Amino acid sequence: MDPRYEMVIGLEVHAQVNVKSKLFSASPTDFGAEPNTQANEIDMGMPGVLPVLNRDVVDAAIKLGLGIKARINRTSVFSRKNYFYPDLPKGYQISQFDLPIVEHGTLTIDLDDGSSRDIGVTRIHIEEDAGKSVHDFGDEKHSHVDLNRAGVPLVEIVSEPDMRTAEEAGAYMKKMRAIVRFIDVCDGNMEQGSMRCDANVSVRLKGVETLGTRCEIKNLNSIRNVMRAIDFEANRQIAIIEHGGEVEQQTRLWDAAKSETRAMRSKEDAHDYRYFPDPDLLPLKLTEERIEAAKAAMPELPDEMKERFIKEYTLSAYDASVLTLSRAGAHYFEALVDGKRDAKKCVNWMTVELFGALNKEGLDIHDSPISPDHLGELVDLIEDATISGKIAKTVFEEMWTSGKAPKTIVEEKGLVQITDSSMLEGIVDKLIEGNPENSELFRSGNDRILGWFVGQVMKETQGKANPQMVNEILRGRLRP
Amino acid sequence: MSELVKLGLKEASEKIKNKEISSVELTSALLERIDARNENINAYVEVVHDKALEMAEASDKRIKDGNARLMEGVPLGIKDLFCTAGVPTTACSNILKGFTPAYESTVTKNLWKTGAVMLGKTNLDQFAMGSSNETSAFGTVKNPWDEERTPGGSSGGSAAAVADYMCLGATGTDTGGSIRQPAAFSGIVGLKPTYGRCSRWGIVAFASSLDQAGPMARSVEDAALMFRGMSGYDPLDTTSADMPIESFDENLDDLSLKGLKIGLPKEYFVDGMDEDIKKVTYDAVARFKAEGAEIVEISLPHTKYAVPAYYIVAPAEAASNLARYDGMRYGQRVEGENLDDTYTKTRTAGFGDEVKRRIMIGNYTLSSGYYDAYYSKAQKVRALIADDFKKAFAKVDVILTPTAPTPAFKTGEKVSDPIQMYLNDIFTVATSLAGLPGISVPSGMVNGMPVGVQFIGKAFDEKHLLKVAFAHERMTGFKPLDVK
Amino acid sequence: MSIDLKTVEKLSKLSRLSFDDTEKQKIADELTKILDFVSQLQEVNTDGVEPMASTVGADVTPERDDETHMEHEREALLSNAPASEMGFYVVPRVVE
Repeated sequence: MDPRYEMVIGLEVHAQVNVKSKLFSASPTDFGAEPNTQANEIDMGMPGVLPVLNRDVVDAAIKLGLGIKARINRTSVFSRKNYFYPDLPKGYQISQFDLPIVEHGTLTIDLDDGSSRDIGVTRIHIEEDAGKSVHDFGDEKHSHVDLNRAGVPLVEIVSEPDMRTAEEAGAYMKKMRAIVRFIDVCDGNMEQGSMRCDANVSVRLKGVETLGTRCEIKNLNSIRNVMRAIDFEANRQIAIIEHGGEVEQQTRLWDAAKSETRAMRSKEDAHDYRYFPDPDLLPLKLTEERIEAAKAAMPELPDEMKERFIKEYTLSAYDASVLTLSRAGAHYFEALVDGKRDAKKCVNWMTVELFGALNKEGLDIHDSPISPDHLGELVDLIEDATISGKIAKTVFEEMWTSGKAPKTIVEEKGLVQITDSSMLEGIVDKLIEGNPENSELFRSGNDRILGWFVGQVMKETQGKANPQMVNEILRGRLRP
Repeated sequence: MSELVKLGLKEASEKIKNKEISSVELTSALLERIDARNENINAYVEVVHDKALEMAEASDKRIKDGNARLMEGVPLGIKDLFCTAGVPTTACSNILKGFTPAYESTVTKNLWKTGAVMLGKTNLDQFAMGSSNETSAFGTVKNPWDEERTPGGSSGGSAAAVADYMCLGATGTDTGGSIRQPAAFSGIVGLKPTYGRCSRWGIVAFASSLDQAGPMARSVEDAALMFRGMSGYDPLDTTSADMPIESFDENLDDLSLKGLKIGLPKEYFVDGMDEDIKKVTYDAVARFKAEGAEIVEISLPHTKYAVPAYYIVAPAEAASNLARYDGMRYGQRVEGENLDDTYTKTRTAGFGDEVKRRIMIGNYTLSSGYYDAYYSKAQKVRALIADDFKKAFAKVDVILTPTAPTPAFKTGEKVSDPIQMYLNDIFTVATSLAGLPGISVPSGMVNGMPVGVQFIGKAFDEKHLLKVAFAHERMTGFKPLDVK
Repeated sequence: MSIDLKTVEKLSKLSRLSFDDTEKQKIADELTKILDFVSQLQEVNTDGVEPMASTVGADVTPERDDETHMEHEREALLSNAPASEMGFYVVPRVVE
C-alpha cells in the first residue's frame, strides 16, 4: 500500500448465539436441516403470529457486554427494520436500533510484535437472522427460499473506526472470536457462517483528520479474507484517488476466488428502513440482580488469562496471547504444565508440534488425539533423558496416529535412550579404530568432524544414544 | 324460523346443560337461519356446516357423559380476522384468499376449550380497517334493522349475525371502535376489554398496540359469559396481561347504584353533536341519577387529539404489519416481470383502497425525517390521553359517553370521505389509545334505529364495568330486533 | 403539508403498491387532507413526555426459556405457498 496513506477500518461482526431455539420462536437452530423444517408459523411470518424473546440470548448479550467491559443498558428496545426481501418473511427484521442492550465497550487486540491496542466497540445489539435464498437450481427466473435460518438469534457487534491496518482488523477478529468462545456465546466458526464480518473501509492521507468515503465489504467468511479484502479495498480506493477520482459510497462483495471486491447491485429505496419500536414487544428491562449474577458467572477472559500466564509462567506476551486464543487451548496448556513442568518447554511442544499437527489436519484443540497428560509425559521423558528430543518427535507422531501413551510407545518400540557408558564407549572405540584418517583430522583441530562421528554412533544405535554422552566420550577418546 | 335462535347465550348454555335442548338442535336451527338469511345480509363469509354439527355432537356427548364445560354446545360466529386451524382465514382481503392456517388463535382456542361451537367466519372491513364494513372484499353487510344501512365496522358481520339471530354471540376485534360502534349500530352489546385481557396470538394484526378481541352478544350477561370464555393470559402474546380470569357473568345484579360515581367528560358533549344521540345519552344519565348514582362532570382535555393520534399510530403499525402480505409464502400472488414487480402487482391487486391508503400514510409517517414529527409525537400525545383518564378515574368509578356520533348511516354515505369516516371513531379511539375497557350497550331508538352508549372503565375493572352495563340494560328495557 | 406526486411515487415504491395517474392525484389529495388533519397534534405541548411504550398491563417484555418445539409438519405450512418445490418456497429470482 502507498505509504502516504492510512486506512480507517470499522468492523461489524454478526455472531450466532449458541442457543437451542430461535430468538422469538421455539424452532430449533441446528445447522444443516432439510429446508423449512426448522421454521414454524412465527419464522414464516404468517398472519397473527407474535414474537416471544429467548431469555438465554439476552443473557449471552449481557455476558458479551461484560466481556468487552461495556455498559449494559438497563432498558433496551426492539425495533422493526422494514424492507422487502423474500428471505425476510415479515417484511421487517426485529433488531435493536435506538437503544441497544450494550454500548461503549473496548476490545484489546494483540499484534504480532507483542504489542497491544484498544479498539472501541460502539454497541452490541440483539437481532434475528434472515432466511436463505438459493439460486443454483438451474432456474434462471426463480430463487428458492429456505427459512430455517430465519429468526436465528444474532448479536451484532459494531466497532469504532479505530483500526488502521488489515493486521489490526485480523487481530480484532481473532480476539473477538476468542472472547465469544471463552464465554461460550458463539462457536466462532466463520466458515459455517456462525460468525460473519462486514468491514467498513476508507482511506486518507496520513495526518488528515477527516474521514474518507467508506465502502462496506460483505461476505467475509474467514479472518484471512477479512484481511485480504481490506488490503484490496484500500488499494482500490487509493488508486481511484490517485487517478483524480472520487470514492463512491457502496456496499461491495468480497470475491475470494478472484481476490477482489465488487459493487453489489444496489438495493433501491435508499435504505429508508422506517425503524420504529416493535409494538409486539415491550421494552427489555434488566435488573441489577441479573447483571450481578452474570458478572459472578463470568469465566476468566483472554486478557486476564494472558496477564496471568505472563506472570505465573513467565511467558512472552506473544506466547501468552497465542495460548489464550481459546479457552480450550489455555486449559490444555495449564493441564500440560500441571504445576510442575517447564512452561517454556510446554509452550514449544504445544505451539510448534501440537498446533502444527492440528492445523495440518484442520482440527480444533477439542479434537486433539493427544491429551495434555500424554504430551506432558512426553516432555517428562525428554527431561529425564529417557529419550532424546529427536526420538521424541518420532514418538509424538506415533502418539498422534495411535493415541497411545508415550511410555508405551517408547517401550514397545525400544526407543529408550542408551545411557550405558560402557556400551557407548565400545561403539566409539570401534569407530575410531575403523576410521583412523578422520580421527587424525579431529586431533589436528578439525572440529567439524566430530559431527560425523556423532552421526555414525546415532546410526549404529538407531538414534537412541544419548547425544551428550556420545559427545563427551568422543572428546575424551580423541583429545584426552 | 325456530324460536331456539332467539335464546340468549347464557340461557341456551343452561338449557343445554340441563338437557332441555341439545346443541345439535340449536346448531341446526342457527345453520338454517344462516342459510335463509345470509345471502341477503352477508354477515358470514364462510359457514362451516359440517364442522359445526360435529362440534355440536361432541358437546352433546360431553353433556351426556356429565362433562359439560362453561359454554358447552353454544354456537358462535367468529370474525374472519381470527386464524382458525383448517378453516380459511382471509381478513376479508383478496390478498389472503386461499389461506388456511395450520394454527388456531388463542381466543378461539379458549372458546373451543369451553365447549363453544363454530358456525363460521363473519364479514369485516378488510384487515379491520373501516367503520361500515364497506371495505370488505366479500361485499358489504346489511344492517338487519334497516337493510339500506350499515351495521358499522369493522366487526360488521359479527354485529349483524348477532342482531339477526344467526348466532348467539360472535367474536369481534376493536382497534379504534370496531366492536363498540357496530354494536351500537346493530342494537347489541359489544365489549372492548382492557388491552392485554385477550391474547392477540393468531389474530391477523392491524395495529398491534391497539388491537383487542372482545365479545359481541345480545345482552350484557351473554357478553360477560363469552368474555369469561375467551380471555386470559397467554405466554404466546407477551403483551397479554397476567391477570386471573374472573366469573364475569356471575352476580351482575349485585351492584348498588347509590353513590356510584359516573363521569361525563365535557369534551364528549359539544356543540354540534347529534341532538338525538345527546338525548339518548342524557336519558341514560337520568335513569342512573334516579337510582342514586352521582353524576360528575369531568374533563379529558386531550380528547380532541385522540382521532389524529390514532390515525398516525394505527396506520404506521399497519403499514409494517401488512408488509408480510407479499405473495411469497401464502395468499394470492400476481406474477410480475421480476421480484419487485411481483411484490407490487400482488399487493396492488390484493389490497383494497382503504388498506392501501393506510399503508401509504403509515409509510409516510414512519419515513426518515417524519418519525419524530408524527409517530413519536402521537405516542407522546397518547401518553397524555392515558394520563387524562388516570386523573379522571381518581374522581369517578366509570365514564359514560355516546358510542358513536350518529345512528347507523346509509351504506355508501361516507365511503368517499375518509376523514368523515374516521370521525366515526371520535368517542371510541381515546379508550383504545389508553388501553382501557369500553362497553357499548343499547340505550334507545332514534328513527327506528338502535343507539348505544359507552361505559368506560378502569384498567382490568371489567367486572365492575359489566355490572354497570347490566344495570343500564335493566333500566333501559331495550328490545332486541323483532323477527318472526 | 401538501403531498405532491413525487412523494406519492416514493411512498408507493416503499409500499410496493402502484397507482395510475388519476389514482395518484386522488391519493395525493387524500394524504394531504389526512396529514393536515393529524397535524393538529403539533399544537400539543409534549415537552418532557415519554412516548407511550408500555401497556396498561405491563412495561417489561417477558422472556421464554430456551426450549425447542415444532408443532406443525412443514407441509401444513408450506401448502399455503403460491409456489413451492422440494421443501423450498419458490420466488421470483433474487438479485444481489
